[in-house]
Amino acid sequence: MTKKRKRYPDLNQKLERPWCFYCERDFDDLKILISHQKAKHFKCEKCGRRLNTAGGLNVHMTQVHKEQLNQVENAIAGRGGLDIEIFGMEGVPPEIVDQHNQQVTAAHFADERARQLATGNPTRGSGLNGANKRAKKNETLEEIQERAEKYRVDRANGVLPLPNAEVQLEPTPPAVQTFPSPISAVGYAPGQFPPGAVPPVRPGSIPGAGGLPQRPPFGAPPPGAFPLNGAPPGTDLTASLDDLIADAQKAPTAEAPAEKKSKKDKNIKLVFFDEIISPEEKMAALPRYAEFARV
Amino acid sequence: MSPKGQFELAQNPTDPISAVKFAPQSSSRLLVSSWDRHVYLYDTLAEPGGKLIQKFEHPAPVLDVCFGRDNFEAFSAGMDWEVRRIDLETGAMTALSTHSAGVRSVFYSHPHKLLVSASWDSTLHLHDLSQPGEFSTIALPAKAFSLTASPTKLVVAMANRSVYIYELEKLAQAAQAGGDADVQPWQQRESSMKYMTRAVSCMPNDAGYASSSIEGRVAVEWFDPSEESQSRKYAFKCHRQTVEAQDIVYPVNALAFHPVHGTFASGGGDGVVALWDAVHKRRIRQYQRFPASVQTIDFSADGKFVAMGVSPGFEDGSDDVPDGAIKVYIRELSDTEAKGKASKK
Repeated sequence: MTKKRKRYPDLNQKLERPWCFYCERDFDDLKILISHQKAKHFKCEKCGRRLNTAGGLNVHMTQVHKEQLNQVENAIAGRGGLDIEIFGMEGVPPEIVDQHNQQVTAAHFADERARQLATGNPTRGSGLNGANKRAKKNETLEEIQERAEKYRVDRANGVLPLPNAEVQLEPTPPAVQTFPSPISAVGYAPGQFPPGAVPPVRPGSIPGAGGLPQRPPFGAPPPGAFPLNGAPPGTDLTASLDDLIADAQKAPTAEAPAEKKSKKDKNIKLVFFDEIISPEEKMAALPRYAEFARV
Repeated sequence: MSPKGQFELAQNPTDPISAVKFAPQSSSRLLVSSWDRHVYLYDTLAEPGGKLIQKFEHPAPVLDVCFGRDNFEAFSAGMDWEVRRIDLETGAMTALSTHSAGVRSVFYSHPHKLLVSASWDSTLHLHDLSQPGEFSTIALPAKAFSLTASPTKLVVAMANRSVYIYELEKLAQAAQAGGDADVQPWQQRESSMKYMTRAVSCMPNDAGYASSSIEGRVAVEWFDPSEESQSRKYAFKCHRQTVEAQDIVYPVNALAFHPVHGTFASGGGDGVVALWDAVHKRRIRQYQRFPASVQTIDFSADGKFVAMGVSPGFEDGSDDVPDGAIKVYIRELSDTEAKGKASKK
């Protein structure tokens, strides 16, 4: 059996992980985060008692050891203050949450990019693998032309709000699009972009992120990709419909070689290799048979 | 202990085997051609180990053989550029045509009464047997490596990975007309595999063909040029062995379709014969490894027997023949042995 492909967590999974306000470490589970905080940040250095919060530790220190707690142990710079009451993920200021999410996002896309460069695999959501794979439509040329004609008529009559066919042609938006953008907190609640608007670009946070929804694909747009907003001029529309038909016609054959090429060349050894001389011709040239060859 | 239902011929050629062919009207009459410059005729069931009825000496290694109009006529193709007719009763041999290089394959089409030979000189010769001594030539773009036909189509695989499909009807007409035939192929295709084509074989139901390459791969394609049929074509890897993290890839030397069930057998340089179901894309079974490369496979017309020619291929340049490596194996198939399995889904 072949090795199971490693599943890398997607961005949403990474963003959902609980993490520690004091040291930015993230954890599988909230319970583990809380026990981490009790052990690393809320533990009394005198008696080893683990308290639930920084405030609790402060009270314990004053009452039991008659000492004043100045800052939280093992905290990164600027986070050691006692003014904020932290328990697990509760009490973390929103701006710090956004800052953390932004870092996770940046790291995620940097990782994905690095992995893409290292393996040559398409980034998540950019290929046709997995959940975004559309079932191959088995339409005859007539059916496509019929659909195209219906679309033209409907379009001319203003019946259709927006072309269904074209919307289907767009790859399903990758799951990435729905995560709460940290910057969006400025104008909109996380995840709630105004309809139709392009999500704000995260400034400087995503170096060379491939596969982002707002980024156009590399090279020329695929023949089936239509301008989504605004009615395209009539000529463009027919031209792209022709492209659509042509694309549908050649799709099955065009897919196969691409798939072949993406497969990695394994360490293989051909028992026989030649471009033009067949094994029989090689045999015929051997001394034991060459004497019978006619010239 | 040999497996049940399988035996080897007692008297085998002394050099590698180029072809095994069953007679059209008998499942025990077998022709074998060999690099030892002989064509052998056996009755495989006359006695245990089969009986060698006769052998026919040629001036040069014989690269292919086939039965003609009946059980008593055969045609051979050889390294001496000649296409020969052999009268299996009298042993008389007549040259039908001369190519300008070795002749790789001969094929006789019963429905069209047409003999076709394919040669390394990049031509096909068409022989209309009602006009002895006459033949027509068709130019090919490259050396012919394998030749096969379904009831209506002739498939030629060539050196530059190209595959030409001709309509036998038109070829038969051209052969009757005589002279240099100007028959255009019905379809020109490029092999769907990256490496040299090794063998082609047609489905008995006239729907398509399978081809194999030197790089352990078999492709199945359909004749019907429609988009729907063409999108059904596929290729798969086989006849490979993993040794110390390295894949040893053997050429697939032989392909043969079962005349009744429509499944097919592949034989490889690894000495393995496997049966495949082309429709359900499944391997039905794989037989125990033979001691040398499987060079050629043929099913009898009733589908009850399969003959397999096993001999070293000398692909690596050495021409040493180990004892007992050159053998023809006959296997009697049980009723369901070569029958396709239903898809699991």
